[in-house]
Amino acid sequence: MIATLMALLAFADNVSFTASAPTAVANGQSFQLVYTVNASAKDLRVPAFNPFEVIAGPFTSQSHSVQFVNGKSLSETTIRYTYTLLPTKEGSFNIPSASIVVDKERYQSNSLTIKVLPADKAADSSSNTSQEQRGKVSISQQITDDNLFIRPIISRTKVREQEHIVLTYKIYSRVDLIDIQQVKFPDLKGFFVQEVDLPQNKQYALENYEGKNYNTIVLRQYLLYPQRPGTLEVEKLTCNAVVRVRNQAQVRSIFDDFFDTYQEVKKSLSTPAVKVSVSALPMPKPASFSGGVGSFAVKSKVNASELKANEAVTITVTISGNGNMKMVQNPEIKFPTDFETYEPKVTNSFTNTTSGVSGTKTIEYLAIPRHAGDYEIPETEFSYFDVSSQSYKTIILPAYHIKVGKGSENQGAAVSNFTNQEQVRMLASDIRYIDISDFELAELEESWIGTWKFWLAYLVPFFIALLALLFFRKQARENADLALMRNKKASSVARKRLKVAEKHLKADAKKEFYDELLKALWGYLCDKLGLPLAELTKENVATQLAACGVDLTDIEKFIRLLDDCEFVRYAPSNDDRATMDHIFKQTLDMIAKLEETIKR
Amino acid sequence: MKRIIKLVVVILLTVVGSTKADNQLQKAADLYAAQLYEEAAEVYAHILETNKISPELYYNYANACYKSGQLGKAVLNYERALALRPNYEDAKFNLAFVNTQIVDKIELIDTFFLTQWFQSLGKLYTANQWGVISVISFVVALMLALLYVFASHRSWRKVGFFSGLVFLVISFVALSYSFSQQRKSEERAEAIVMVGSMSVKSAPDDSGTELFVLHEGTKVVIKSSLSDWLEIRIADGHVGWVKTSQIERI
Repeated sequence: MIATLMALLAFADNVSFTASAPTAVANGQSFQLVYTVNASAKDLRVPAFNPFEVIAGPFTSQSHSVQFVNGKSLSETTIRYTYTLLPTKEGSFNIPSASIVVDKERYQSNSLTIKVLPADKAADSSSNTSQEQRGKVSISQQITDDNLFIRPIISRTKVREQEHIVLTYKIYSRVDLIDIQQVKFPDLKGFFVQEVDLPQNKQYALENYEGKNYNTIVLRQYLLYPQRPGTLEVEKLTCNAVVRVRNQAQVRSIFDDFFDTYQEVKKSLSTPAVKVSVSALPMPKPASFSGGVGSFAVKSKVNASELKANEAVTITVTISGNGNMKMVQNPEIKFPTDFETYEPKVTNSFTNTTSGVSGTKTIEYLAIPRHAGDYEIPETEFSYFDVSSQSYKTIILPAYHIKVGKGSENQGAAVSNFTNQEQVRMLASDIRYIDISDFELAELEESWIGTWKFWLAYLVPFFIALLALLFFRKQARENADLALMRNKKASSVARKRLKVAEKHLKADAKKEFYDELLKALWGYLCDKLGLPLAELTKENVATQLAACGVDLTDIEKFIRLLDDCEFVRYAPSNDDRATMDHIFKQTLDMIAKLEETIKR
Repeated sequence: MKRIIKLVVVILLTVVGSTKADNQLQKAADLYAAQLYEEAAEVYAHILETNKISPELYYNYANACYKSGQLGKAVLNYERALALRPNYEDAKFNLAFVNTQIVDKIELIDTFFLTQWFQSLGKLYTANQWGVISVISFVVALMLALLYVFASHRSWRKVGFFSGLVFLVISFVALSYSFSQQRKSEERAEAIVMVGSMSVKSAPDDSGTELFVLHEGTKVVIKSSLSDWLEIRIADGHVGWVKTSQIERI
């Protein structure tokens, strides 16, 4: 049995050898330093515990446990070497590592740093001998504001907008604190709040505050990012603390000292409000300002620079660093307008620590080119406010050249029924460009309206026209006057001739009468139609009259009248007088009718 | 880096640029191309100080003003370019564009459409151009009158008479437009608001009631003046008094 145990131990290769001690102790108060090894070991060599004084130890304690799980046995051996040390000086001291031999091999322990706080003044003055030596803090029985309070600790009170502040709520206790209940955390208005993850099992830490040593515990820790400039207030926090107090009975029995009775007492605690003055980020902000404040590094990469139409191209931008990561806006990548773009996919992996939110933000921009061609994705700027240098910094992401080939045939066939025409899209409007032609400059031309030159421009042509009129007035008269006058006088001339004809009629001069009548008719036509006598024939007359809008029946009558006149003139007739009267009357009617129809 | 490049460009251009107006024009165009609009505007303004003008110059100056954010000056210079060449297509386009950017939107009074036509027809040409049109149509009318007198054929005489009459009417209309344009350019009654915003008072006095507020780039018509105050009317017919320094005549 023992042999097997020994064999198992030999195989236990994960030997751990650790040193443990409180991180802070008060001066003049002893504490324990424990070396723990999980195997049987020998030859412990410890360093010099300067400036601590060994007042007891080493005490060795050994524990042994054997477990049987599913028929297998597991054994554990733990050896603890305990030293009781007394600090003699204040300050922070290092205890170097110790060493031990397990199975002929030497293992090193961790080194420790112990902070020695000044001695408790209150404890000194009271010289209370009943204080517990094993505890670090003298447990007071009185629950006063000095013995139990909560403090908001703020890392900075003057910050830039978006720069992180650490807010820690720490409980300071010199009493036997059991529990904290009904915690009402403040409403942190004007801040973007991130909670810092604290270890699961909270442990007391010793801290010297205003001359007294307290057991402290962190209640909660926040990272605050102020969202607007000005004075922001962190409101007060309230909670109830449960404290165990020993009953101080009036009547003390002999057993009281052995069997103390305790009572749980509640005390309400609250913190003062804290003010933070936030200054705005300096102006002017760069155009590409992302809202990031802190320190960042940005990288980008593209998945392919040569692809086919309808295949996706992805640009991945990685922002890593420390600052207000969650408030950083995605840099805007300007894909060519012909690309179909989608909402970028954002992956965050952040951790909240007291030095701010740090981690990486990965943004994937997906775009699909729909047409073949060479495209250029321009440089993208990412600007942030660098806290350490208190200035804006701009990171330029490189430009990408993307060559898009023709898409595969299948996809082309699917849309072959449609035409690929698109309306020309107006993307923006702007003023037109300046005139870049070689235009001439000139003095402001003077107005010539109303000057003598202007009026001369009218008068000169007018006089020229007048001269022309005078010079050619004969021609004008021939053209205008004769034609017009003949037209106007046509009927009066005809009338005169008719009067002569009437004389001949009365005188019974048949031949003269018809001659005169024919002259009157032809002459009237000449004058009225503006044609020379030689050009007149009966056919001619018919067309001319028709053109002037005379009825066909009237034209016929007119032609017949002419025929009659000519015929009767040379033909002997028995009833001369009656015929002559008839024709004369007809002629008068005809001329009257024509005069009415042909109004010139 | 950009700043340095700009500075280098400016220095180079100043070194290269000589006193001649042509070079100045080239320099301004180069500055404009390098997007140094303010500097380009300064050069254009400098050229204009020499009293040598052209509609293109005003147009380019206005472009540079607009690009450097001086709306009032931009509108003023587009208007000046259009005063010199009323049918300047680019200037009309840009003025319409810039007018959409100015703050004041004034409802126009509805005028009878024929009146509007007559007014817009008058704005088509300058006074001198209308004068030339008038003289030419007068000469044409005379020639047609002679045609009427001397033409032997009746139809020619008819053409001569009626078209002569038409041209005579055209000549008179053009003459009246010419005089109205002439009067307009002599009065220089139109002006542009040059300050960011100005309050229009009921009286030519600082203590006058504030009637309404006008912003940079708005066109007003000057009705009368009293010491350093001007009575103005805006397009919707409202009238008030402003300081002379706040507006600039076209």
